Amino acid sequence: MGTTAIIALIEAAVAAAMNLFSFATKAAADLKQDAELTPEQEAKLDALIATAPTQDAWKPDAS
Amino acid sequence: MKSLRLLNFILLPSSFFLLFACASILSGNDPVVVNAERTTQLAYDTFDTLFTIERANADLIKANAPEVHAAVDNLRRQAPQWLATARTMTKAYKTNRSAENKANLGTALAVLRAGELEALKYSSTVAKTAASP
Repeated sequence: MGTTAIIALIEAAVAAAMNLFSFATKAAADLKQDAELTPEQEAKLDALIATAPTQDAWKPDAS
Repeated sequence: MKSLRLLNFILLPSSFFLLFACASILSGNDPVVVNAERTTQLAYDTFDTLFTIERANADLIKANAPEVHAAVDNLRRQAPQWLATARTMTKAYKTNRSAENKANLGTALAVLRAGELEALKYSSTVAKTAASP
């Protein structure tokens, strides 16, 4: 395997690890919720869910 | 493949353990609502993480694990509706905390959790495939 391929591999692994670490951080924050969401927090969550399908990562392949 | 099974073995039970690490609910707050909102937020973050990693490594995943790509795409089609339904049922229950609305909310959350578990299952596969094509 060439150097370029190895570097690409490492970059992909690092990116995936960073995404998973970011998820762990968000998950921990989610689980710390100890009261009902405020109206503002609800609106923020609803907006996230409503706009999710427009995000590139959430779009399925056209088929 | 052994390391992939090991990742799955670690990741799935860890996600269940996280559920027991939840903060206790403050007095005066309805546990049903708090748990519903926690579940919804956590599910959103789980889906978002999976979709982001998979999209960033789409070519690799399609080439090496096309069935995983197809499964994740299926989750992409269904997750928004699961999340929206969970929110609708949560709001309906908050408006009228009847037994029927509680049951409907429970059903919506069960569907959402099942989808989230599937996303967790594929997360380790996607990460593993991305790291070692």
